[in-house]
Amino acid sequence: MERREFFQAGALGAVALLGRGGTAQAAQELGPAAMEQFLGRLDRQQEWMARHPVDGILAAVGATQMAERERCEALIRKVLRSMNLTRSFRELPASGRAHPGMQGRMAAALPEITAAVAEARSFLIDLSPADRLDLQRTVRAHPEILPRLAAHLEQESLTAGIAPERGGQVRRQVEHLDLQLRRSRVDAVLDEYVARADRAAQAGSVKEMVQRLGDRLGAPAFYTQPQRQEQLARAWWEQPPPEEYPGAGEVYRLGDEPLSEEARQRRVSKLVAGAVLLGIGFEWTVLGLGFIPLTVGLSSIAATPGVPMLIAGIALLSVNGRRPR
Amino acid sequence: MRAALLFFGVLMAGCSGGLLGRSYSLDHQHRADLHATLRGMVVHRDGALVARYPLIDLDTLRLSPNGGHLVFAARAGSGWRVVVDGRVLGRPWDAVLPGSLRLSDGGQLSLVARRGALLFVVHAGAAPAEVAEGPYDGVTALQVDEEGAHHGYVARRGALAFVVLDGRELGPHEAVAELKLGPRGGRWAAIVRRDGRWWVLHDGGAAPHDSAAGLRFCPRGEHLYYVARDGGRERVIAASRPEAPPGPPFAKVEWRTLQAAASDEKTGPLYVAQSAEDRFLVHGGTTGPPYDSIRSPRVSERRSAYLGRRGDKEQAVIDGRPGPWYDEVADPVIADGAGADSDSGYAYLGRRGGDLFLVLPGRELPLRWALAGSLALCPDGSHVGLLGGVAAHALQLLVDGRPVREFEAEEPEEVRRVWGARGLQRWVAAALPCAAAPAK
Repeated sequence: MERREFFQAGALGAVALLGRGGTAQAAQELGPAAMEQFLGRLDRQQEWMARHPVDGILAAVGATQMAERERCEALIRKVLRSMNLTRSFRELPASGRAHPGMQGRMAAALPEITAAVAEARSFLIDLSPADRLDLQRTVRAHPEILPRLAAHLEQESLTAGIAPERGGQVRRQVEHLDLQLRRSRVDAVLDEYVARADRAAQAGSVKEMVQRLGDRLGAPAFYTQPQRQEQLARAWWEQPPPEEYPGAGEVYRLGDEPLSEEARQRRVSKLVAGAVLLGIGFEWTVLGLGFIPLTVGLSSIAATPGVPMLIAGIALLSVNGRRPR
Repeated sequence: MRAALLFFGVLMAGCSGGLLGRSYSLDHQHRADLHATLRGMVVHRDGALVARYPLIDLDTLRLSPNGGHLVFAARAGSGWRVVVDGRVLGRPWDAVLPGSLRLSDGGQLSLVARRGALLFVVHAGAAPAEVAEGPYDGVTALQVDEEGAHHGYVARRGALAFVVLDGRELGPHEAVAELKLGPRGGRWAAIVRRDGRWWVLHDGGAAPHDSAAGLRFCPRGEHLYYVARDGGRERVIAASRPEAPPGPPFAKVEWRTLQAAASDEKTGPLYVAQSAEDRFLVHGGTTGPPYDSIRSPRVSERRSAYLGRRGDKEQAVIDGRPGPWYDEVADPVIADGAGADSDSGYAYLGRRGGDLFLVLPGRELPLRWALAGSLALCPDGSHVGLLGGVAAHALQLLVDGRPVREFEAEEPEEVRRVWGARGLQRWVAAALPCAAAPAK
């Protein structure tokens, strides 16, 4: 397997490591109906983020007249959707992450997650020293900007049906960034996120990563985890479909047309294989290994730029919007 | 008793002569080692004892690029003293900032030192006395020109920022974003903010912009280029050539890619520009084909090269001529001695699926390696050397596709030190009759 492919595969599992959320849920057993509910809610949130106007976000930072609105809007949507999906993923217990519906959504979102991480990194890298100083000056001269944005994002997350705890988490992240930008050197703040992304890019070969994983897990866990993941993934196919579900037993794709038996078998086989492949990530999650996110390239969406990139981009563009033409 | 003696013996062995770290010259041919002993710390240069002090800061151990001079900071009495070639300079300091050390081949030293809460910029050369400038609250971007004759830095005192050139303060400014010294002749340029606007200052001139970045002098120092943003569009400005029209405007110019060759009178600067979702390489007045992304652009005296990716395929573009598509391409090496119009004198590695190829003008050689390695060319491009192999412990040197040397897992350090591109060039030159000095 090529390193790039491994990154894409590993991303699914490793994003699960990017936080401690879900410890309470981990104790619960998810049934098909609860999982379908979860996935349905997730789909609606993702759809909302893809379509809902971002005017409010731009207005919150006074950037409604920006020159690069299209680019900025696309970036905002990518980052918000990627963050929401990965956070939802990691809030699930291990069995929920192994659910083929969750796996399918993560696999389908990989290009967007990849693009969000890459663009976030290049966005920070591309900021010139003058841009960085402008950003800091704006935050210091207008101390209301980022708190206003934080409050707006929290309110919007409630409208989108996202759990209040997660909305509050985003608000706190923005407020923390605000504090950093007002008190520290802007280079120190932004370079920290660039360095994380750079470390992710220097993750090393597949062999090295697997070796590191083996070192941390110990032999028994390392050699038995694929089987355990396979069991978790297969368990979903032995469950009866939820009552009144329109998919005729197809529990992992809301809204899809019913599949033929042959297509269904093909998909099952593919998804189970994928889950086994990605199971390495689930096991990392179970054992709570925190170092892996920095060693797996594309999985770093929540560890690296994320919110700071979003804020930096918006604030920078707002700076441009304020400049005399 | 016997166990205690054994423990003491092991302790003695462990504490005497333990290597703490080392520093190399630029070509890795000279080495400075710092060892801990029971009687303090000792520094060796190329195996010869240089100095012994109770405490030496490993982070400050530095050789000049050619390895001719050595500097470090040592604890003496109540402060840290700077030691150059075994000679102790001036006064003790509370701290020496390791990242600020600049030691030229001529032995000129510049550094930032702290006393209390204040920073000083210290210079020392052939004269016995050091010169300290300051105090300041902050010092950044300390730089010395190639001849070691001029120095400059950005200093901050309270809320004010200054450009300091050879000890002379210019300012105050609201902020200084960039400072660049020319390679020679004392030329300089800076991007400063005044009255809410950004100004590019250079050689007595000043130009206002919405923003600016990427100050670049060409290698001989005659010309200065930078990226300016005005009215939401970005373009490259040739600051020291008033007769030259500014470059075409783009949605974005990737300021980090801006570079100029020595012969830029004819060819102009090279940079990557963005328009909508496409990226182009702009060289002089010529714009290349669109790509999703462009990496490793470089220009030399007579030639240019870059890698362009479109979708999941990548190609190398040498002197404006696109090569075959691969899944991945490694940075090419180019022989400056070969003419840009001759379609020769370059080499790079390409991967297509699981197959690795060495790509040369007009042909590609399949490699049975798992690891790609270093490439080097003769100055005239007539021979190519490649160091790589199937595993990190089994490397092989190929010259023109033929194996000429094998490497084992544990080669002596003298051998491993030349595994970089420069060392490889020497091996290539030794294995085959290259025309002149190795290409850079």
